[in-house]
Amino acid sequence: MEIKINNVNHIYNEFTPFAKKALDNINLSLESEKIIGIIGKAGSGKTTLVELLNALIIPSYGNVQVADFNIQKNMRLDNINKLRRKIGLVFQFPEDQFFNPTVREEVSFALKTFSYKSDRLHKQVSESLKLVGLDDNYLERKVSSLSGGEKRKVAIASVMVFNPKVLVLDEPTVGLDYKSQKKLLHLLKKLRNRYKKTVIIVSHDVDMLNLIADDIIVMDKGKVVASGTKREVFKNTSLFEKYGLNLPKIVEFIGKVRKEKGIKLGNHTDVKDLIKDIYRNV
Amino acid sequence: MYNTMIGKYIPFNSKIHKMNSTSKIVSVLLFFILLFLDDLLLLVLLTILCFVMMLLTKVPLKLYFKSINVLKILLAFIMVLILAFSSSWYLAITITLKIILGIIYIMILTYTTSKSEITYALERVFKPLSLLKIPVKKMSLSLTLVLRFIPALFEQIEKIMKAQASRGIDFIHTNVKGKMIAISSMIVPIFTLSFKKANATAGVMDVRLYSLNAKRTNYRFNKWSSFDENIVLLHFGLLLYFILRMVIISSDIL
Repeated sequence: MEIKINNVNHIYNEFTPFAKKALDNINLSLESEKIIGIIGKAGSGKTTLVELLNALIIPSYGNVQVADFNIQKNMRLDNINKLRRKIGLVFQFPEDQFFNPTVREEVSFALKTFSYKSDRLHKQVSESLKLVGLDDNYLERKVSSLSGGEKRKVAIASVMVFNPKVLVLDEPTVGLDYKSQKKLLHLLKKLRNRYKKTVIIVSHDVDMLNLIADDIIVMDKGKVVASGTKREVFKNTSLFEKYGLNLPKIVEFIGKVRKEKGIKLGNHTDVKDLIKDIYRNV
Repeated sequence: MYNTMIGKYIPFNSKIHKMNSTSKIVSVLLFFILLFLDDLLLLVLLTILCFVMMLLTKVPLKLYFKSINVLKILLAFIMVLILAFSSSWYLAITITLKIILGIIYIMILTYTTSKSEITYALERVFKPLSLLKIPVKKMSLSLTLVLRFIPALFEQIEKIMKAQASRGIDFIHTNVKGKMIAISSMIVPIFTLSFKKANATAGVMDVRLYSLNAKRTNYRFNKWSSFDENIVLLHFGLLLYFILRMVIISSDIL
């Protein structure tokens, strides 16, 4: 599914003393069936960018093309739910938005509002819970009785249930323990590999993105300052220094070894591969 | 989607900004008393007064109207309710207009006065009530916290609305039924988050050793000027005149 962002500028509170330019002349083309990471400091415009994709925000100037939808100012968005079914958005701390008492009701909520037939409801709810690693025993459980990791999974299931082509996650690993993070990353890879979804992750966690992302977009003060494959982007260490961003620790380590010891290690994302490479070289 | 300015302080260099915060609070209170009086001429004068005050703040008028626009559904609902119970268009329009004027006057106060100034002024104005054992300090603190948290609350509401919109309940691009479902889907998360925030704020205040009983001074001192006097006298004058007018009219009728 094609996603193109053309000459987008977005200004919050335009024509008021609080006017703030959140996006500055953004031009992007997002490839499908990939995991795309968006990094940048707080206030760089990452969340604003992803909220454009399903018309939660209409750009002040420019347009966003999502499949056959053209999102721009003063356009009537008929069948907006058709667009929202294509792009699933999971916000930071999605469990804060729960309002149904049971897991079943929370997960099936979107299906009901998108007018899915009731005979399919149970099957789809069950499948989306299975997808995130929860079984049917969770269906009748109270949402308030779940652990943090389980709530996060239910939140993702409640978006995955309507089978969007693109899944956007805003800081998905924040507040999760290491084990839950690992399971979540495994799920995201499965969504890309097995279910051919496009996954867009907004995060400060460059180590996590280095592990699973294919492409990286770097933002600063509303502008896209770098985009490309993660290898290309993370190789540009001066860019990260310039914008005050952290490099993945593994990339930093490889860079230091190259600089201080003159040993050229490969561009690894996995620690096991890096250790093998070190043994080979040293 | 929802960028409300209700409750935010907008620093400008206007006559109203420079006014003593106590005179502003007194004027607002007198204005609210005036709103309760039933007189069409008074309502017209109050509308003009409100408009003049808005201009004097130098805050762009668009900001006021944007904030009122956020509440248009609620105002329409109130109007329909009044019509349903009274079948009187005059009553529905005048009451709705009074509500709008009241909200605008509060906005004039909050746009031109910082939260600490408001707290200080409220404490001074209501100090005499402490003789009747009314907890004036607690009340003025509560009011200030409400004003302080309106923007934060609207921010949370916006986040929740966006999350629900992603799942098919869009408050903006939907009919009345959809809007009602959107509102009902927000109530539980808003309450839960508000309680969490309130708890966190109380904790922070404790940690910073905030004590309601501690004596406070105000390092920002706005002198009481002739402009303050004139504004308060104008409100008081209006109140006196229209009360007398109502008394005279009702005695004529009798």
